[in-house]
Amino acid sequence: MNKESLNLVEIKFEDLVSEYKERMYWHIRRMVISHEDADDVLQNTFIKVFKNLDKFNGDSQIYTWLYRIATNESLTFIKKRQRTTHLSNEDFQESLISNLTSDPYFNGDDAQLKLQQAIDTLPAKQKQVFIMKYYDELQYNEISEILGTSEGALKASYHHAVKKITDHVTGN
Amino acid sequence: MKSDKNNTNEHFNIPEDYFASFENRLYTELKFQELYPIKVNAFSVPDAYFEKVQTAIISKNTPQGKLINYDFKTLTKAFAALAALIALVFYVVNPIDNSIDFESISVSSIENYLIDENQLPYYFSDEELTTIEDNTSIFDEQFVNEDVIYEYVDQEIIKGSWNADQ
Repeated sequence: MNKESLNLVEIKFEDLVSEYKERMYWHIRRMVISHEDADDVLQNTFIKVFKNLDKFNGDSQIYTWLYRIATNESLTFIKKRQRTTHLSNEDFQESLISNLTSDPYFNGDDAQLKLQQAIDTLPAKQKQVFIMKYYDELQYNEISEILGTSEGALKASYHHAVKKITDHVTGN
Repeated sequence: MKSDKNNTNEHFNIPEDYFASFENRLYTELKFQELYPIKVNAFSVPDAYFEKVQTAIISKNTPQGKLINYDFKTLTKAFAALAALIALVFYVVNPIDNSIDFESISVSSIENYLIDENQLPYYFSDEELTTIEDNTSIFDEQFVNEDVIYEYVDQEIIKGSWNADQ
């Protein structure tokens, strides 16, 4: 099947939602932390998908396209929230973690809370790469397609992220 | 068989300091896996969340009816026509502004109203009415002749004045 005939394959929106809603939810949730925020961003993501479905040109796999939209929507949401709270980046991350302790939809023990704390101290790009590699189990070539970054740079980002998390958790 | 490992791979290249950085990355990863040997999802969602969210997303993105695509030009023309129509209606009918300017009422209209409706006592005191009478039409040029003046002058004053002269 060549590219032209691939483009003719109709992508049904309902099928996309059914197939990818959970995967997108967990990706978004790890970025924005709270369930309510993740719910908002997930809906915004699929609204954007719906509006742009006719523009999807089949150059990338559908799920890497979805990931790209979900990642951008999450980052936009975080920036907007940060702006409205008038907090510095560090204070904003701290507020996310302190909310997590009282979040009814967080069941982690102290070790998991520490891990989440460590992830939230990472710079945005390293955080994205860590979440995609560790939790979403994407390959470097897939992450490269989503974020538009070279695989070499992604490997370096992931390594720095793991090192920082380990140092944070062990107190080094 | 040659044992020189460098010679067997001479046509392959590796990034500078690769092996040193490899060790570094390996031990970092091992240390992390030692801390978190099992991947745990500490987050949870409300009951039946994914079923509900799917319904919500699909219903939000289902077209509710035929959308009409209005372009900017058409909208501008429509608004301009509507504004012109409203302005015309206000100019001709003027349903809001019923106030009449005092200047626009003729003096005779006011006079007629006051006299016909017998409104003078309500608007003027006796003193004001006297002043008006003293200063108005009775002494206008057209009425000034001896007979009229005679009629309006108190007869007692005339008699008094007559006797004094005698």
